[in-house]
Amino acid sequence: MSGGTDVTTGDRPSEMTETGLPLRRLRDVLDTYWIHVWTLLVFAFLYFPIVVLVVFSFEKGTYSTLPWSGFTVQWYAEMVTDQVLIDSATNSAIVAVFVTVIGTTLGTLGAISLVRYEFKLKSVYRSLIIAPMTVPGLILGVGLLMWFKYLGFSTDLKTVMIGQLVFVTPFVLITVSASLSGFDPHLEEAARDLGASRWQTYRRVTIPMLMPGIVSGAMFAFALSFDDFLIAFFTSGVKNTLPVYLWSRMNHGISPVINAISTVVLLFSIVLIVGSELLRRRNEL
Amino acid sequence: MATSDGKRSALGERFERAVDRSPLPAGVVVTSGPVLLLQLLFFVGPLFIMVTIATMEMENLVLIPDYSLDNFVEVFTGFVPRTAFTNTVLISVLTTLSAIVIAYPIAYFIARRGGSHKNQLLILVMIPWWTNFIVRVYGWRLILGSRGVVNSALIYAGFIDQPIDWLLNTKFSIWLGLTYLWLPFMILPLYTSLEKMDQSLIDAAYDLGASRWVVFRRIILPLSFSGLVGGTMFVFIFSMGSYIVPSMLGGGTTFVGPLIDYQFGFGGDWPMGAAIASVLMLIVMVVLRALMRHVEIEEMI
Repeated sequence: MSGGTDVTTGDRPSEMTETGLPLRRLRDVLDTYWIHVWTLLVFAFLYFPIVVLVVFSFEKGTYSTLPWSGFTVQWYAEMVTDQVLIDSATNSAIVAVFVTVIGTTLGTLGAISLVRYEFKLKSVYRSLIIAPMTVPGLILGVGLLMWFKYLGFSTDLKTVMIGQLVFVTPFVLITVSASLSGFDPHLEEAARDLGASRWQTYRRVTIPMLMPGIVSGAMFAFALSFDDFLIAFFTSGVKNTLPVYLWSRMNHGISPVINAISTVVLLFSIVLIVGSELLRRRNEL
Repeated sequence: MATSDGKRSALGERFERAVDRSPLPAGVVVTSGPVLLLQLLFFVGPLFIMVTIATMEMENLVLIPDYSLDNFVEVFTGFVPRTAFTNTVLISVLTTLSAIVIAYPIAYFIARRGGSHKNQLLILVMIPWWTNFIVRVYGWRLILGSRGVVNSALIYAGFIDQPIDWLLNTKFSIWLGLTYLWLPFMILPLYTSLEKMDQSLIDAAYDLGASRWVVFRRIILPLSFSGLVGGTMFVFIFSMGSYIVPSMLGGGTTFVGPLIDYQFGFGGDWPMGAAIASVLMLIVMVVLRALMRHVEIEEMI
């Protein structure tokens, strides 16, 4: 694990106290390895609930208690026949695809103006981008609920999409602008000098260079939208998205089917993030 | 997309000539316009209507526009909202502190000793953050419940006869859930700033005989300050505005998020809910303003 030099311990002179040898050994070991142990414990903490959900999704007993009472895939079988679940997962997918496409487009455009142009009121523009990321989802959710009511919009998947775009677009924008500020504007100038129009320069130079940033922004957008609960909770009306459906089931008591659904949802997210990371890595090479 | 570049460029050329004459470059309008429109319509609008409705009253689910500040007075003087804000601020502060303590060593480890595994370790930190919130919070309910993993294991092993009842539906479980949920948001900014730190400064301090604590206080802490501020900002603000953790793990604990939801649901008092949300918004903005001066938010993500 430890690639670099050992920092925190350094070459400390060993103390010549009268503590017994095994005890001093233990202390030396702790001195050197406490940070490894700590790291391991934090990872255990981060993955504990995930592991518990996965493990108990295969458990026979209806209550997720120890000791383990046997292996079953019964809950997964029940899961795939749950029509409401399938419908809400479909709704989530529809919303996420829409939000990803629109959010990535708006975010990429917005990033270009943030990094490439100087204009009046740019600071206002900046804060209008950053603010939606910092406002608690709950506030945005109830705000949107009142706003849609005021405008006379009936709440359904459409309003969920609009609401999610408000906080998803800034994340894409920031992600893309990070990769945009990392590349040399001279490349664009060179293209222009060689006679390319502004459009051709965008299409042939800017966009291809930005592609890795855009792709990770899009994956970010998809994950944010697919996992969003708060906006959908307040703006979906009678329609369910997957997290809203899960929420209502969780509040109706414990059922192992929830564990099975959760496992699938977790697996899906993990595949998504590992995939996007591998993609990013490949593009960097 | 399908049109040839030739056609496009002719169009583009004409477009560009028109652009150069306008005071605000068309490039700016085209690129920032859609985002601005979206945020003005569906971000500024909702916040505006929220503050407006907070000054109204509601009877039988009908809004009555007799504008007054009564609801705001009620937020600060009423027992329930005051308790909610006290609980929420205290638990958020505690969550932030514990997140700092937990995150520092691991962020340091990954940044300074991760070696070639740095990226893998970072992904391991990020995976939980990318996975569904409510699913992971629900996992804690399975762990902490009276028939949950911890209690059933302890009973099975014979350490206790009765389940420990303060594990779930208490302030403790809210604190634990929030610390758990927002921990990656503390680790990542800390990692970013620790990674940039110059190793020779630390080596020099040790060579000059500094103790580990002095090295931390005089070198590591000041040099990772922006990461610390960034992480604090995220964890505190997210905790203040949290809804999922206090309602799923908090039992009936009075907390701002669930209280707002209640006013919009069973409570049937939108103006009161809007007033509480407005005050929450104000607290978030004040904290942000105070902390933002020390960090560049773009660097954190």
